[in-house]
Amino acid sequence: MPHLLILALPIPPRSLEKLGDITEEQVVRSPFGDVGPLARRQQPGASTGVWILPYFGSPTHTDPRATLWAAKDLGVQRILAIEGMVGLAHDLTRGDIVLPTDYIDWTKHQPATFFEKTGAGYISQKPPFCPDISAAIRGQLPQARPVIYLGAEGPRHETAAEARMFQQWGAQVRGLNLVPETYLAKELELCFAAIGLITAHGADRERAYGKGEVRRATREALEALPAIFAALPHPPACGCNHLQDRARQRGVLPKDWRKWQ
Amino acid sequence: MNSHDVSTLIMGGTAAYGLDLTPWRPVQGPFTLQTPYGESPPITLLQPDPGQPPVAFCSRHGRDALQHSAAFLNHRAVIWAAKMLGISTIFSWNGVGAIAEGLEVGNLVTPADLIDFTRKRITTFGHPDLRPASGPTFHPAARAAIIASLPNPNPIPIPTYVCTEGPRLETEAEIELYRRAGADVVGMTLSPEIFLAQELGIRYASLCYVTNYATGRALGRAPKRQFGPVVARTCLPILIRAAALIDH
Repeated sequence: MPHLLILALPIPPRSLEKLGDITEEQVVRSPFGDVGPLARRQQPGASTGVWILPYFGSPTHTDPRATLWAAKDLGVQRILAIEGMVGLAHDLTRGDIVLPTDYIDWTKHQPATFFEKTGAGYISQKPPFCPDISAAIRGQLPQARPVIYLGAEGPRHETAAEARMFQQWGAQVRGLNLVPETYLAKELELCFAAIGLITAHGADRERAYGKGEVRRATREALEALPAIFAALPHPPACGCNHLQDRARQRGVLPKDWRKWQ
Repeated sequence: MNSHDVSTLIMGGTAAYGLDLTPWRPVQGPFTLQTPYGESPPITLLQPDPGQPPVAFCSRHGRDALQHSAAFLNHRAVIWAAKMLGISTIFSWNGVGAIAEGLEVGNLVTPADLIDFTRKRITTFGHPDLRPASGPTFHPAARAAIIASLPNPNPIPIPTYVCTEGPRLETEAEIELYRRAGADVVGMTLSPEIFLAQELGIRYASLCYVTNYATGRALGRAPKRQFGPVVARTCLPILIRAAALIDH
């Protein structure tokens, strides 16, 4: 049975204990750079584990293709990201939990694809995020508000003018990781969805100061993880793992995904 | 071949890679040219009408199969090669997704303007003596020649094309943003080709074949898609007619 990978903002390991003890640690060597160390947690007797990889530093300095390649290499099928996001919409405030349901790509230097030599990157973005994981999040974290996510090029913050523009475009939150992760994941037929924790307000608003609400929201999200994990259907019902069927049938992609280019 | 004989280059997009050129009478090639930006893609000279000068033809995405998606083409090599051949007009055909409500799969539109949402492509030769052109985005006379060659009038009179980076398709949120910005059709091809052509003083116009509805824009219609050989077989004759109409 395929594993789950959690990409998360740095969190105390203690809060992940409910997912099982650490049974393994690995650094994965990918053609796009080394990834890890990743820690695997697994309940005694369970056949499926959860790999954890913290988001380290700025996404501008790591190649997101490395992370997704590593996930595939570890036998992961599903990726759940937990990311700190900026609340652009004025009714979003620090400590809110959100569920991105669509995205706008405003990155500039992120890789656009694994496939520079074939047409295999021509992939529909409907649905933009994995329906199975999104449904499990909605079920176990009903307070997570559906939002349109704008993926920006970090590490800088957006300006106030940009924050207003992004809202005119229809975006409600801004972040630095999910784009291009979500569409690169599709290219490798991986499931991908995310929980957002609002950690700051858009630059067009008064700065928000913390009173522990982000810590509380993080705890809420982490406490829901075992239930989200348990709610995921087996086998997957979403179809993400069949996104390259046509490319394989047409001979554009070989059977061995490690030879995909 | 005297380069002065050929003044039009037809850049084939969707389905050009699988097209059998025999009915359009290839008279020379395919050949490639060495440019300062690397080797050009293969170019074939076609002379469907012996009374007309030949036209050059190039399949943008490769031959036999889609070998390179739009973001990974050597745009500078092909446009420079066109200049070396003495080309004064480039006609492009390319598949687009429909954003504007009035468009159906199978419609043909000739864009009048463009919004560039690509992010990694080189949009200039960077040569100090070459200046970006001012004036209309698509060349009015070249565009008029395509319009005069269409079997039916444009379903929308002054379409705007938005160019995305790709190779992935767009999200619904992105399409909604482009619609609000004024775009009628979406594709991944025309930037930077048109800007490079402008720098070299080559007239450029495009024939867009609506291959699909952009994400979220089927508007209750059956989600049809048309990427098959019919796209190439429809577009090439129209552009050959346009080549005969345009005054070089």
